[in-house]
Amino acid sequence: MSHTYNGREYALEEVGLSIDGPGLYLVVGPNGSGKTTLLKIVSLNLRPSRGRVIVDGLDAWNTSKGEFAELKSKFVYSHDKPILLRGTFWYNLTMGGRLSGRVDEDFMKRLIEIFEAEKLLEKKSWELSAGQAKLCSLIRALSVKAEVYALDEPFNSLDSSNVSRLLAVLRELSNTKAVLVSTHFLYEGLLNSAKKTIRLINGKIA
Amino acid sequence: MESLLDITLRSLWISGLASLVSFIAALALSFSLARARESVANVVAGFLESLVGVPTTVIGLLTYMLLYPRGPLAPLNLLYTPWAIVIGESLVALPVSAVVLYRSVRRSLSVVSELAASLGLTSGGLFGIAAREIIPDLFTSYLVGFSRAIGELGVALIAGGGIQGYTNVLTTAIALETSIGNYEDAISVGLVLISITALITLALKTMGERIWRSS
Repeated sequence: MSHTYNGREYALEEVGLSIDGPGLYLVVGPNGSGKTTLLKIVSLNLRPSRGRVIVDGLDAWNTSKGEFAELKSKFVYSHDKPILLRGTFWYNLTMGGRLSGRVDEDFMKRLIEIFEAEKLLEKKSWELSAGQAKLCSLIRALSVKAEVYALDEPFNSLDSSNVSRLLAVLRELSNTKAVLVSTHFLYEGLLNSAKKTIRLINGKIA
Repeated sequence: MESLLDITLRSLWISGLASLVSFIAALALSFSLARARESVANVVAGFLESLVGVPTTVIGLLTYMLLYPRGPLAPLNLLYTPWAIVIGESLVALPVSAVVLYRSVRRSLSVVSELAASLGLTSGGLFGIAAREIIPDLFTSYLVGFSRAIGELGVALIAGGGIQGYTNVLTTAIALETSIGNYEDAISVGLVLISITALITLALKTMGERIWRSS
């Protein structure tokens, strides 16, 4: 598949990716290499300018509305820059449930404990630091029940303790789910844990 | 002149109701435009912006034509009643309320929709969440509509008639008192009009801020 935002330059060019079952799938590359575009396409948040996205044998962008909704519900995408709404950390965490209706509340509670986020729950979203906002966005995304999690630069803004915790969470999650992670920095052990690694440079596979 | 208190209360309920009607319509219109294609929405928004400057006498005339004995709404028998003013002032307030609201709604809905899509949702149920994000703009939209409604003369005079004890509002009272040379009374009414508008704006803005901060 290929994608252009302005009709002239391609953010992604002739890139193919196959997600075959649970595991950690790494997408690495420098800034502007097309990682976000790839993750958004894979998670059905962006329709590619050319090419197809096949999910469970169906061409996702050429199905009925109902079928597309069904396929879409299998994916969760976490933004590089977190989208937080007005309200507390807790309000934003539970937005996943409000919007999707499919939340694993036990897993959410576990994640809150793992990341020691209990003290953040009543903080207003505009009072959060970049790292705290990122944590909120990640816990929210990971708590939604899905089959594929596409996490765009999940380690950005996190301190070293939280990076380690997140690595452990992702390794565990990837035993049962497909977890796509884009990153421009290869943390220790990340490469070894990956089932597949895609390297992008200037929108193409290196 | 009839009691200033009666005129004031009448103005408040007529213009308050008219701006509420226009606010609800502006909200519905804004959400519809926010979901439409951007090129179409921008054309409609541009048209609404052009309607902001339409003289209230023209809208008063339009309201009169709708309600007069041979008009399409003649069976309602609303001409020269407070309800005629409510209808006309709703039309006066609608463009300005919608113009204030449309871009905020579009921006807010875009953000909430993107968040919802990222969490696996494809449709529906986002309006309440999107509206919550723009509470100050909702209050501003109502207030600008109210200011425009309570300060207009054309509709109140042409469709309402300025009838003492019935459809006489603050603006028609000013016009009437000025026309018969009672300048002191006219100035008093004018000061009441300015004060009422300022007080209500301040009160609602403060309420809006409190709700915003607590959300």
